[in-house]
Amino acid sequence: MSCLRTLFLAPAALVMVVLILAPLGVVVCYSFLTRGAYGGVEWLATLDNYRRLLDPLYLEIFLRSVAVAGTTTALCLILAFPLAWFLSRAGRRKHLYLQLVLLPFWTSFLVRLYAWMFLLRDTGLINTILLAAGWIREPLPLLYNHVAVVLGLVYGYLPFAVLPLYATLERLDRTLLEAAADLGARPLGTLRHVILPLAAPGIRAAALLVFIPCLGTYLVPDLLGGSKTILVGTLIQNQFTTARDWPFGAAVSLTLMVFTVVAVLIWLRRGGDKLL
Amino acid sequence: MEAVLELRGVTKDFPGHRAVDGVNLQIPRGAFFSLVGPSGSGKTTTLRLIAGFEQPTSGEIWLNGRPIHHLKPYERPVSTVFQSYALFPHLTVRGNVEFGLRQQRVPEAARRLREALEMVQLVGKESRYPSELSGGERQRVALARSLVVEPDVLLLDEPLSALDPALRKQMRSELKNVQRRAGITFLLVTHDCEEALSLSDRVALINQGRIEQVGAPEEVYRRPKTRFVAGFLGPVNWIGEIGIRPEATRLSRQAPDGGVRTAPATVTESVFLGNRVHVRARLGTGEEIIAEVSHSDGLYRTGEAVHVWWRPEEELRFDGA
Amino acid sequence: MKRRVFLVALTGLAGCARQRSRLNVFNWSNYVARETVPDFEKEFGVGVRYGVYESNEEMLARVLTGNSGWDVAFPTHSYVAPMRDLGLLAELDHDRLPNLDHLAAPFRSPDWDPGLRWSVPYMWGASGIVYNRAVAPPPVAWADLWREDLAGRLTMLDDPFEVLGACLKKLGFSLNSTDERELRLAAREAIRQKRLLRAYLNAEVRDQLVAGDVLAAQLWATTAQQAIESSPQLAFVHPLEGFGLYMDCAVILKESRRKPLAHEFLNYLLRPQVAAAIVRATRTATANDGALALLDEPLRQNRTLYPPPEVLARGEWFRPMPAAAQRLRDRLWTEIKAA
Repeated sequence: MSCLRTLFLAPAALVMVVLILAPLGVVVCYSFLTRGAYGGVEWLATLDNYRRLLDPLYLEIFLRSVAVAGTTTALCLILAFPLAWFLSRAGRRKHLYLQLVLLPFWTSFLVRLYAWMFLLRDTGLINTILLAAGWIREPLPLLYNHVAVVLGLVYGYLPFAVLPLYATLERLDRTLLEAAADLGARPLGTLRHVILPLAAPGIRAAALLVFIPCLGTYLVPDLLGGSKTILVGTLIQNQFTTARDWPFGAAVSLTLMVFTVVAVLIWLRRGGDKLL
Repeated sequence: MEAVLELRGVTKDFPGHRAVDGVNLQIPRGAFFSLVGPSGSGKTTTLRLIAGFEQPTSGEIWLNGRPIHHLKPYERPVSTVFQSYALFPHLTVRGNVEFGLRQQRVPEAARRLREALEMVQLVGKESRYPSELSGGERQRVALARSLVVEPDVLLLDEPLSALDPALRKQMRSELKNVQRRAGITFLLVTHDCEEALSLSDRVALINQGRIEQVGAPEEVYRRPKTRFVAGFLGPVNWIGEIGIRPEATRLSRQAPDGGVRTAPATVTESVFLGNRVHVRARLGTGEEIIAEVSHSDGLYRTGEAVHVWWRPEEELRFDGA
Repeated sequence: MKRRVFLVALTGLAGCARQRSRLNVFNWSNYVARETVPDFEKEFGVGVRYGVYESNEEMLARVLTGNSGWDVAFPTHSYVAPMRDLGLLAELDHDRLPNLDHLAAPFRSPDWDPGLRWSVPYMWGASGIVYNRAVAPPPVAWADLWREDLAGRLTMLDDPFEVLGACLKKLGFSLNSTDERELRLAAREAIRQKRLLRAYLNAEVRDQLVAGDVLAAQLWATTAQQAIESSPQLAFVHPLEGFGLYMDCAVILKESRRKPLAHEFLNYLLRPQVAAAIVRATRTATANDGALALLDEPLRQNRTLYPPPEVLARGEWFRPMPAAAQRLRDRLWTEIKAA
């Protein structure tokens, strides 16, 4: 009966409205207001915040964020695919390996980033070993550059890429691979024409799961990049802390969100509405 | 007889059991050859050994005078029709059928594609996806896909078992036609003896990894070499040391004339099967037999005393097994 | 019968909870000695909820709501006037703060709060350069942080006020400049410096200084002192061109419903013994003269924490920015980071 159905849907609807739509409404509202002198907002409507976004400075930041997120996504896919393939064929140890992939989620991301800093520093583990082995004379500058940032991002988001790929590859019918070989396809041909097309839904899901959070990242560029680059996430964070310009921060956030939603819709549409 | 495919002493061990045990086979060029046996007899393993999905533990496989047992599946000029058809779900009928042609970069692909589709009567359905086809249509796509690459031998792994009985009979004759028209050697693996007998030029019976008999269908049916072969190819009445097929087992109310073997029996059941009647009777010596009789004999009633008789030349005798 | 006894006892408990007050104190991290708060709780028979924050913005964001739940906070001096203007502060009752007499003379009526109507000076500091003695010649000015021989071994604070401040001073302008031309020149300096920088780091650079990875860093004096105590190889200098000064002050929030108890706490912090204990624990510079007298010689004469008057004279107190200048500074900071 439909009133029972409404009753059961009510909690979820409440969560949606209170925890998601209401705060979103506040952000939308703020983005059209003027900043208070010391933070907060003044109730004076303006389009200034959005006009400022057209400044090349902010467009550049935006493009750079897209580039970083794109690079990270590509690297994650390249690394995750063989790993997911191996996992899907692992036989009895499969669940053990899956647990190992998921293990990092049991610890805080921040703690793991600090661990990477300990590894990469001049006096960190990697440099200490290399120096002791005599392979280098001076410590390598592994930290506080773009490579460290991408490394941190790929490390953090790799499990998000592995899991959907694994899910898709695990369901792959092995006889299809035999059929391809039977018809004369060498391993590379089988990969290109059978495995990759059939894994496409998993690849698309993995790409989304990495790209979207990467776009808004600010911890990794701060900690591993030495705060030397500013990405969209850092820009937004700055508006709510040092710059105390909440309306502008809200405008940037909203723009980022709209861009992401549009990009995702286009991406999904190309995939023919099949997500998994 | 020229053998296009030869298995010499092929053995395959898996951890715990021997699936194929010293198999020797010669498959004649252009023949429709069947490998028949019950489940677990090793027939599918043998097929996979020929296709290259497994490696023999020992023995050799020769194709057209060349050893192929060391080659990868994509290096062997054999093609397989899988039991589940293994059609590529992301490709259309056209994409599936031309897959092998593209991978092997075969010239004149378009012409061969068209011919293959005509042979299996799927012209007009090139743009459909496997999920949009019926079971029979999918089987034909699988067949076309394997035929179009013109293999030396076409391997079929229980290709009709997934179809319903009516469709199965229809597909059987289509399969036979295609084989004749294409002129390619077919090696069919099945557990259905009727299928094997009706389709094949030659039949090999396999049991527990060993070949028990090879020959033309009529020959293995009439002159089975082992009790297994006899019993697998059809029902057998075992009377003492010998066996008699139900269609060779006759009944009469009076004692039969001389020159035939006979035994007294009592009718236990009469089963009407449409075009024939099976009458069960128990011999004086205790064995249960089934006799296939025609309608003109009239009805046999339970408990009726009859004479069971058969011609001696129709006896099946075996040494040992 | 039993049920009635239980319910009466329950209300009695509630009454107890009401009587034992609880003060809510919001402070910077590492800004009290271990025994400071427990001793206060024991002496006055109250409980203290002690929260910490890492930046003025963080504190301000909470307090702006008007019912953050805190009674006492410690803004940096340049935030006192803005907070007063926003109506967030309660006016202080000096009758309840007899220990104000212990404050050092310069801080009895500072620029940012004449007469100390709203705030009580707590701990002050300066930002300057901490460096490794191995560097030759040793840095003495902000300009030394633009040296090529230190490339890759330099850090600056991740704070727009500090970085722009250093650049402005290097160019001979005021730390608190609102002039667009001056600010743009300063930003250009910062961008020039960027390729020499290892990173923008705050207190976390301490480990790298001690390890020797970083040879020179812009850093607050208190943090520098902590580093120097870990490694005598390090030294601190107040730059020649001038430097920034700041004072963290104790304030009582207007929303507080325990103003008398809050005054007690501020008065307690002004006790010389209490302030001295805090200095010993945190290596901060106290505004409390009485506490200074209680400190050991080495600590009292420490030039990093208590520079001599002629050095102190080069310092400039940070000021709150008018809106237009704030916007410009924010934008310049974004440009610097994006370069």
